[in-house]
Amino acid sequence: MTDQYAIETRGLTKHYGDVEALIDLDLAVFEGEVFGFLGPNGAGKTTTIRALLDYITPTSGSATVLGMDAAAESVPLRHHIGYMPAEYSLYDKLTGGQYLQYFANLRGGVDAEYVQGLAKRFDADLTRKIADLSTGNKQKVGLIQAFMNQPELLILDEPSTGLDPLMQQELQALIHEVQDHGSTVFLSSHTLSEVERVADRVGILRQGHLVVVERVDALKRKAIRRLDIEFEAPVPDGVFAVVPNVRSVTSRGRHTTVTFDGPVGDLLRKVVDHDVLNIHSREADLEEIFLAYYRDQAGSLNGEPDDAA
Amino acid sequence: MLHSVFTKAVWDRTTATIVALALIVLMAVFAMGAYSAMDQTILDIFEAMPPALAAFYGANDGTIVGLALGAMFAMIIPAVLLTYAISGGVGSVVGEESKGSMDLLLTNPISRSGVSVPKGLVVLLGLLTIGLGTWASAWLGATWWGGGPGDLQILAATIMALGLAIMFGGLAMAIAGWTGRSGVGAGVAAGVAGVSWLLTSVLSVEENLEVVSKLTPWYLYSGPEPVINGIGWWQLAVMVITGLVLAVVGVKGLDRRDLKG
Repeated sequence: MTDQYAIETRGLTKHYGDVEALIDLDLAVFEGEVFGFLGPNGAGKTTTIRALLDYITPTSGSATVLGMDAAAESVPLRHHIGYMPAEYSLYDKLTGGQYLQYFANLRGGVDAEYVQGLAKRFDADLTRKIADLSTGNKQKVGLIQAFMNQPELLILDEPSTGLDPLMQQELQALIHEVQDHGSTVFLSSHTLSEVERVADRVGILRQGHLVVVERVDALKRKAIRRLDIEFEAPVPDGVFAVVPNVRSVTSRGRHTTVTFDGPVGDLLRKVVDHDVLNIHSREADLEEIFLAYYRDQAGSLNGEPDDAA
Repeated sequence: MLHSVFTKAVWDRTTATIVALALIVLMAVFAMGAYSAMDQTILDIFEAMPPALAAFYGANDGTIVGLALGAMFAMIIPAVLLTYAISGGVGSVVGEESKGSMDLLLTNPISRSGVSVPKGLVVLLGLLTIGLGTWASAWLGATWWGGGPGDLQILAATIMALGLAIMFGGLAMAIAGWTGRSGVGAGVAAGVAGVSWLLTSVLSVEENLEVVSKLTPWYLYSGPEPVINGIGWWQLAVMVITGLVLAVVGVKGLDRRDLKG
């Protein structure tokens, strides 16, 4: 990862009539990083991507991609980008191989051996007509076309859709590999587990607003976590409720569940004051972080836009 | 076949071009044969027709071949050419978008006009091919069934019909290019063509309304009576230039609006 931006937007805004799809987006993605772009359906993720690719014109604001103006230099920019949209159609009458050959001809500089290597990794049958392929196999063709010119920037919108778990792992491995070779990956998803395995940082988008941009590990540290403890004998709730960072305590007999955020040290010291039979800690996933941020931001988002970027 | 947008578009339009060509060849040969088989009877029927009805059959020189060619060039040949031009014109500016393949196509280093212009040129090429087939089959039909076209201007009528198709194909491109809606582009262009054909044919026999019939776009094609008189040069120029300008408007429309996701 470098300190140069692969993607930079300033005040990027898109309205469709009265609908505000994207509001004043200030976003910076570093070259060489895997950036997860999270949000529920309709949050503005695809709108952002389509503005970056000059498929739509922003109502206001600007975007720079790989140092080039996303609108004015969109055509030369595409030499350096690989993109897979969330929804798309391939040409049904062509085989997967013909489709990729067509795109390789249009793109230029595509290494046929590399394409074959990708097909092998994804176990894609490129000899069959696209009309006869399953959703997952069409997705493989879409992924291969995105990766095949070994782009400097990959923009992947919900790339795991339709892929089986093995292929999802292969995709994650490939994302890590292209990152190792210096490429930037902008990964949009509403499947949080998909992003947390590969992303260095994530941005969470909601109702067109960027709620937060944070490193994945930092987000996890901030997140609410849960400790399930089994004691030798019941322990009153009040013992843990006074510990700093503890959010809630619930007890049933000898079992106590404590939710907390921040460092776990104070809580553990209090726990070991009692006879512990068993203890189970669950690492927070982004779903919890996602929901926590939504809860915290909901008030401000419904009123004043939050400047969380 | 898959070297460029242009070559792929040629491949994509091959079926439509063959179908249109086959329709015209079959019609030219068999309609001419049918008219010839009826010989004097069809001339008598035509003589007995009320002028309003006869107007739908276009201009002719009073011969069997002339009557057959007049009828074909009055409606059927333009209808086939217009259908091809309108559907192709719409397809060249919003076809990829309608099918959902535009987003991926534009991941390649080509501009939106880099998609629409080659496709539009392929439609033009297809029209010229069908035009060539029209001229050849009409000439063969006239020669086979009627002893030759004589003074009838088959090539001129074909060129004028192509001009008409270019005009309405351009109109379809302009509307579809700016709205992003293939149905609107095709529907409006076909509707304007149909209404103007109807007005030109019907109103031409009403003395009081004849002036109105000459104001329709269709009259640019039918007014010079190309089967009899040859090419109406200024009318041809107006049709072709209007069509090309409208096509450019459609290309610009695609360039400037938001693509549908």
